[in-house]
Amino acid sequence: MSIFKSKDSVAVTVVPNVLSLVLLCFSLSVFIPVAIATELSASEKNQGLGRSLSSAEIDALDTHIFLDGTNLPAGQGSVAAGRELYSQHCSACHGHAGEGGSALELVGDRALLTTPYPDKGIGVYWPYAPTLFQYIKRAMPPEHPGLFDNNELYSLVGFVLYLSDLLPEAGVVNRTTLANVELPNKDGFVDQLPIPK
Amino acid sequence: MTWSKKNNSNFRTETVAGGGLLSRRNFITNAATGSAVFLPMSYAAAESFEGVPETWLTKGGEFSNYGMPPDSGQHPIRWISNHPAVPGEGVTWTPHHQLQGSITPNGLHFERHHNGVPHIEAATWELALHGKLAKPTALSLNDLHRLPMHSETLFIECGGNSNAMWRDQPIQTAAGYIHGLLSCAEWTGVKLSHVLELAGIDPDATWVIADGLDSSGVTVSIPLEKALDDVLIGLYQNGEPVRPSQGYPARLVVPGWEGITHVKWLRSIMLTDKPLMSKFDSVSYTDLMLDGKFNRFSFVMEVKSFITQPSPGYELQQKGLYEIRGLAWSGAAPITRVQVSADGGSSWTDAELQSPVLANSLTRFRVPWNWTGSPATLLSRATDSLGNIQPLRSEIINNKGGNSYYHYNGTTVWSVDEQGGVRHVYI
Repeated sequence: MSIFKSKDSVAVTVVPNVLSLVLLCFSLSVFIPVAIATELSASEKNQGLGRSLSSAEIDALDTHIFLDGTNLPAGQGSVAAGRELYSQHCSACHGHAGEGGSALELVGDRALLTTPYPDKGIGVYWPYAPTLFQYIKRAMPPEHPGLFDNNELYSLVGFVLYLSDLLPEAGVVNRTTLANVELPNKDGFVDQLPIPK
Repeated sequence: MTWSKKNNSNFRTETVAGGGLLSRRNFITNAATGSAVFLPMSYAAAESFEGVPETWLTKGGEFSNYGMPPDSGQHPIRWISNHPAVPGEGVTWTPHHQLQGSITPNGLHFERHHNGVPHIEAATWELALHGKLAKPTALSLNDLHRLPMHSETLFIECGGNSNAMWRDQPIQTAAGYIHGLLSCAEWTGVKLSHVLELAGIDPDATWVIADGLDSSGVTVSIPLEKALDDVLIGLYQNGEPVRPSQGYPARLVVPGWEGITHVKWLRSIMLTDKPLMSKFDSVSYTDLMLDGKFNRFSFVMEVKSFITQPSPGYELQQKGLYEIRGLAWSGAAPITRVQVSADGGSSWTDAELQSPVLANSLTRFRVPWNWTGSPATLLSRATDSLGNIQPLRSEIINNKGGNSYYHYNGTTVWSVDEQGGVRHVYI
């Protein structure tokens, strides 16, 4: 619930038990909100602030795709379909075969990681395949994020994995197979945790 | 560019290190003996109205609703480096070589956007808190404004700041276009710990996943311990509402940690018992080391400094007295010392630190210098209160190799030649 509709108007919607305080003091508008919050913190757990999220809203928020494949959606794609989509939407920046261009390379050689300017492709660098799905879904292509449906996303992920020899050309990709693809650099990280004080 | 130079007649030098570095007293003595520091104005009798400043006789300009810099073409601006086909993918650089003090003006704060600045309607915007919480909650901007606010002066530095320093050859550009993915502002907002506690934190929650509203899928995992320690939901920057380019209506502010964690245009905060391992956790912003392994969750921006004046682009037009100025910071602890050398590190002197020296903030340092007209090699080296000492570039390359790309905190060296030109060099 909000107590002020705008910064310079009278209180419009109020928390009932602070109504009188607000009306009494609204001319001191800058300081009122803090005073109310402090007063309520002792008595009400949520201080009358915010609103509870509905279970439908929570479900809609809980869509992050974790490294074990949690929240990967239904659907299926193929390397062949991914090749078509890639050619149309991705190759201009990432290169015909993922060699990179104005955007980062998608392929590389792990043997070159300790040499100058290594290509940090998916098979070289990325630890978890489901992350590809989440990132392409949210961010690609940059001029039209959200363009691809889930089948297309599985196809694109399949094609870029194929480019790095991580999936056979005849391979199909769905939430089960994607969660089971093990990327070569999975153990290539040194976590700087716990955080030093 | 020329570098404004103090009048240097009638001052005596008290050398404290090689290359002409001086005692702080030299400026004070100089001033006390009456040497002119400012250019003299010409005066004339007011009665005649001849020779008076023209501005005395002319009606001034009008008021404005929002003050702007002078329209002279000389005012500092940010340079933009962006993707030719995706103009919202890129950065703007804070021009530190043209600024003084330690606070970055809001219009010059660096930006790193991955796909442009989204337009967000504040009236309908809500921050969703979900995951391992007793009471998943949505907070409006008005809700956040009712909570106790907290202000802190904090630097934000992109993890990729100074990445040109990893190159084989020293890049020749202005200091702000090497180290300018770094800015400092007074941030005001609500403590993230406060809103999470309102929603009731589950005992087994250990990570926070912050999600943004822009179209680049920036989703970042932060340990809950940090979130409860000092993270802010930033609502104001240098006193005014956070600008759209800085995350309006609300962004995370994560003191001392790399810029990507300061998620702009906040949409949701999810509490979990594990990191998401998003692209921004596990791929971007991990640092390739000498052995082919990547440092991950390298959040802390380590102790660092560089000289802002003189720096490439400046030209010392006369021999004599100058002030070497720069910035120092550490995301681990407050700066306690900045040493400056004018002879390539053979000898050092301590710079004066502008007070107050604040944790997780930029600290301005200054040291007087007599340029004799001989070549000089300038660099600075900072130390924080935990005893962390900024490494020389050679040390960082030896220890980490040349492929890290992120988290360069080594020294930066400027070479002054006999003509007063300033170049970037490796030593």
